[in-house]
Amino acid sequence: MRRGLLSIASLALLLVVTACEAPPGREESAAAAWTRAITALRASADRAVQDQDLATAEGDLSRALALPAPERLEARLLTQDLHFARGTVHFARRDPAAALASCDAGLAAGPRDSVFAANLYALRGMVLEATGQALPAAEAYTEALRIHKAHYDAALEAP
Amino acid sequence: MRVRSPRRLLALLLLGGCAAAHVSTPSESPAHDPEPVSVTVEALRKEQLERLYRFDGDLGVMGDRCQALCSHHTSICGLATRICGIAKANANVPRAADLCEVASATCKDTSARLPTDCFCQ
Repeated sequence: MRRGLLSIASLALLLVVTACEAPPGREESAAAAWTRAITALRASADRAVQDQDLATAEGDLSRALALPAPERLEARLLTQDLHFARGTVHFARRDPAAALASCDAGLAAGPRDSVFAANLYALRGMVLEATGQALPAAEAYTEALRIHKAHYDAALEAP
Repeated sequence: MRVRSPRRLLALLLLGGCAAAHVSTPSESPAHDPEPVSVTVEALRKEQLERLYRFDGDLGVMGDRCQALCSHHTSICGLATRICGIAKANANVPRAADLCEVASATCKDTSARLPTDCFCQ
């Protein structure tokens, strides 16, 4: 009888724990699904770039960016990287305005001191340089450099 | 992709990308002859992708650290090369010269501070 009560109590506890863990589990699953989806779209975009089919690449990256991203830092960083990828495609398609818009969107999508932000600033510099805006280009490169320097210092000081 | 610990997140942040595709050695100073933009962008993107999806690998601590340091150092000196290229082409713009000077100094400083056991390509 006592063993039976303990078993029932254990089962109830297991049910409570499972119920409590369910939301994070679903969140993790949604995050994993999002990551898989954007990874596949990005791989498709890469293949398209290799085939010099920039329109398809742009479409793949736009679809990836249209997917609702989970509220996590990693997702924000990956979103920044997707904007970077789409910006490079715009730039390769000789659309500097769209490339700069991608840089702006990417910088707004995540932390401004991440290496992904550094990439976006570097791309911004390339676009500005290619369009004859020398000093703004140098300023953008300097922002990218500043971020890398901060990460370099942090890595050097890490135990 | 999941980041389970602060260390992994740090690795992601550190290994996440490289802002320019120029490869330099610790003793190298910025040059003034950047690659064509189209070539650099493609190399930049390839390197970015490789680093982004490689971060979750089983690298040792020193490997992680050296890889991060070399990546950032390469980016810093590559960016300095571009900034100084602009300054050289726009000699009448003092601000560009100032940015070049700071960038060159940063490149040299990070070169000098690279640990001796980090062998950057």
